[in-house]
Amino acid sequence: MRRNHNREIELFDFPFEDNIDLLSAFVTEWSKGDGPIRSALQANLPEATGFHAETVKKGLAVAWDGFNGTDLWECVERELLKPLRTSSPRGFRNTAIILAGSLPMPAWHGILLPLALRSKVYVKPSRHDPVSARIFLKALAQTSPIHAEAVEIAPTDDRKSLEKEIGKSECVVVYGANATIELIRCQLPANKRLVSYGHRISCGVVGKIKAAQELQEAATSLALDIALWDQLGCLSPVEVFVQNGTIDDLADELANQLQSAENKWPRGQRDDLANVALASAISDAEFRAAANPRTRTLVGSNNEWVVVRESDNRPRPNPLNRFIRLRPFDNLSDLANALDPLSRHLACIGISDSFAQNLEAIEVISRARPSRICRLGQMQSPPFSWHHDNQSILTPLSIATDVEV
Amino acid sequence: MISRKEIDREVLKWISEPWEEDSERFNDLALKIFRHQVTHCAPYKSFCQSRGISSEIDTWRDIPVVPTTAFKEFSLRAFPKNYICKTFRTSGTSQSTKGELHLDTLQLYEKSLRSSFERGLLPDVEGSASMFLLAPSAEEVPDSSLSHMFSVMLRERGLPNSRWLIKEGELMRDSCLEALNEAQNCSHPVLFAGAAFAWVHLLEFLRSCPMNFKLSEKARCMETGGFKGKVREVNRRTLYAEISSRLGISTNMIVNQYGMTELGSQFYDSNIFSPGYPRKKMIPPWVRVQITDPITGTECRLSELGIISIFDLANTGSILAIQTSDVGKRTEGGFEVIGRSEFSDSRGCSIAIDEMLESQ
Repeated sequence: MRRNHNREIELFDFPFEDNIDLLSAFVTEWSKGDGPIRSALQANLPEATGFHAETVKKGLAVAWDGFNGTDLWECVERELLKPLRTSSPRGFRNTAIILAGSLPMPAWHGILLPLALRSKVYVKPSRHDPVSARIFLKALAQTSPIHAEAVEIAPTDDRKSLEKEIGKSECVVVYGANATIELIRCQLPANKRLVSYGHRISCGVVGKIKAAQELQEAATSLALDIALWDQLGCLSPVEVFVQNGTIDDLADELANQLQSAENKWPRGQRDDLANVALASAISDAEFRAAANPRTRTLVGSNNEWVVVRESDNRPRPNPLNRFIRLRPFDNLSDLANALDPLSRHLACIGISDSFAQNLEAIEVISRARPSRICRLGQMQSPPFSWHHDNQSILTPLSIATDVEV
Repeated sequence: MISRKEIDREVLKWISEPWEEDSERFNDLALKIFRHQVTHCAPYKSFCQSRGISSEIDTWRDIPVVPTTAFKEFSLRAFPKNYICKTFRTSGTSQSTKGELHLDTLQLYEKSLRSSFERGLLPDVEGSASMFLLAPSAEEVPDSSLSHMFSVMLRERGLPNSRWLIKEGELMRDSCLEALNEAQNCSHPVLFAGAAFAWVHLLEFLRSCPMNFKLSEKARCMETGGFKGKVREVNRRTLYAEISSRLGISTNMIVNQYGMTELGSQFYDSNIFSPGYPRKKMIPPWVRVQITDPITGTECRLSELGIISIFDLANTGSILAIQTSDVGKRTEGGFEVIGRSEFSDSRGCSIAIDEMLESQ
């Protein structure tokens, strides 16, 4: 990318409010369901990432339809302006961002947020999604050329320039597996800021349901949460804890709703390893079902979706790609024990309407320390400023100065 | 029904002979073992019943395969619990469940491992070899099938200077350097062998020195297993290139072993046994490797990718038909392992639950 030293200085010294105004306008643009940004993503993501076009369309709509520019301003107010006695919050001069996975949302937020702090951004796209960052940059150039000038996107596999840029950057943001984060943490000097977003899981909790209508609604909502992004995102539930008395009915209804979801938002491409992992997990469940009739396995005709009704609370590997385990619990104490092993790894817990008013249940669930607790069906639509990995989103990227005079 | 002792005797006899294909013999023995196992292993019996398979089948291809994960939750043995003489466990932390292979005799197990090991790694060696093992000793980790295999080969074919190079989880650096120096100057065959992640540790150490060696022409290396949760991941080609450059050994003398705790037999690359021919995994005659489509379950054609299942007659006391979680393809006279799904690279940001449990 062309380097323009003067432009760098311009962004770093750009008036803070004007900076946020420009970016807010950009957020408003990308939130438009029928706008060119959404169209570009819908046109390019399926081929680049393997997701089905309908899944991309629905996933983006669910994630972004409610956003607008004021969301960014509210986030800035809450995280940067209120706590500080300074009118001009600062970020680092340079921020390097290492993206991972094939979902576009983390890429868009990841690039936007350091810009909100007037930091120049170097982006290493995920090799599973080579297009999102580029579409972001192209769209940004239309709304705010000064910001677009401050973003540089690395060639996907250029390790040397990545190492060089990490070396130059004052702040490094890493998305990815824990092993990747650890590797980068070990290599970074102590005086550099590391902001990391590791892999997480999400789960659902369904209390006792008596009415058929409510059961169907819970299953429909869960099916949406599972089907979007083919369950590959950290906000996708991989396990659902279901109160005994409801679990068998929910398993059957969820199977119906996952098939219905498959008809509307077909599962995307899976590679050979994913297919094998899925087949292995199905075989494993079928072997256990043969020994214990309370364990049941419901499978779509070409393994498009799988529901395993478990008979115990043992955590087991999940191959994702629309594979969901329903695990039984009797009471809140059981639920607390089941959630405990997950407690450092939870992004979101989606709860059924039957639990949404139960304060005791919410207290038990919140002890598992998820970043979010929401209703089923809303797991894939977090607020703009959700506490990804239990942390604020702008504060970690900023340089805080307490003005005490 | 033929007794277990008679079955073991027949399998042992076959393993002791030179490798020779015999489809009829395999089918006959496989069906005998299957009948024994379906009768004496209750979880397997339930599984076969759920598939509508009785003990009366005509071909080994109809034997239901058991996923390796079942070894984590069921005691899959076809003999009484009080007959257990050895249990091997899969790797993992105390937080995650380990798979277990119970044995009531080590005779078959050791005979099988020795036959494949010698063919894959020592086909040109008449007597003994120096063995430098990048693994903890079998005394230190008695439930490790890899360390047990090394200890058997050390006992059977190891020269007195052979030794273990990992102790209490640490690479014994001085001992490694001494072994590498010995291996440069000796006139007898030398083998360095260990898990892939142990190789990564050794190479990192040599890089930090930095030190390079030029091993003798009779030296060879073996690596096995994956890297997950251990150290940084390295692809096999990179690993071999670095072993080659640091140790001064041709990549043609580096062999991968594909094996798993749940199996009595292992598979070695063919490059030392058949130099000059394309590398493939050699299949002992008492084993069948089946590659099936993971969605339809039908058998794949030559070179088509699918899920690897293994029918191993050396598994008389547990389950002979095992479905792995690995992707492979059949080749002429062998097979290739393309990837292990447990090591697959995530497209998303959802952590694998097993990885999560490992990190507790």
